[in-house]
Amino acid sequence: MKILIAIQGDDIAPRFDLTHEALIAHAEGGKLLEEPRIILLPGSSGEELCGHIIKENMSHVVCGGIEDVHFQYLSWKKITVIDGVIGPYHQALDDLVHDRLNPWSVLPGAVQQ
Amino acid sequence: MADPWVLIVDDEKEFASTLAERLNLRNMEAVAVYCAEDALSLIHTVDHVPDVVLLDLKMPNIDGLQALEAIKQYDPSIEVIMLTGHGDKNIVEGISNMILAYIIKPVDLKELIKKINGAIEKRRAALSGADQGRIP
Repeated sequence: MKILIAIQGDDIAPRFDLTHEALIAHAEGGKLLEEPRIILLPGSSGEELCGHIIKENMSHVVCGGIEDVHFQYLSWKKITVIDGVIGPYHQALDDLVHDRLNPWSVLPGAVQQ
Repeated sequence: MADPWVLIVDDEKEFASTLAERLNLRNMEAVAVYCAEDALSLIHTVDHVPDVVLLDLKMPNIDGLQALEAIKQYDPSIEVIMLTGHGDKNIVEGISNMILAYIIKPVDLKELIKKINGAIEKRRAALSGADQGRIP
């Protein structure tokens, strides 16, 4: 699976449409196939991020809050969106790779604001 | 040896400041400014000029090309990496003799860091070569 996690610093970005960074990873059979990489996105727009996700053939997206229009669009494109996730992105990645990440999860290490 | 000093010039404020944060976490001294005017005035006033300038091509008022010319005129040893969009590849290829490299947005952080490190090595080698040639 090809994974994109919308991030902010060390955590999952609270809003998909305002994210400026994303972690990209490629995993199969419970293992990462390569070192995850971080990309920095010019501007912030949900549409542009959706476009990037499609262009890079992502199969899974992990994010915090996401607008329904973007959620529906990505789902229509057969991309699995795991939304409402709060916490450190490395934990989310590990959980997803091991098939135990659920929407609306508050992960260990999540900072209360 | 001092941390590499990287100046980021991009009118997309969030992008520039996020990039600066990421580079600062990797033992670089990165500063973001949001227009070429601020970048040029900073370069003219600091004691030590940046090792590398990451310069956005498209900016209001003074654009990346004009800023590049001014930076190189002030100190040709400053290495410049252009940040650009997909449609501007031809423009940056036309100035390849003035820049070390260009990166197309969205920016892959690992690729960018590799290019920054290459630029720093090149600049430091050039400066130490210049020092050795100097008459005491």
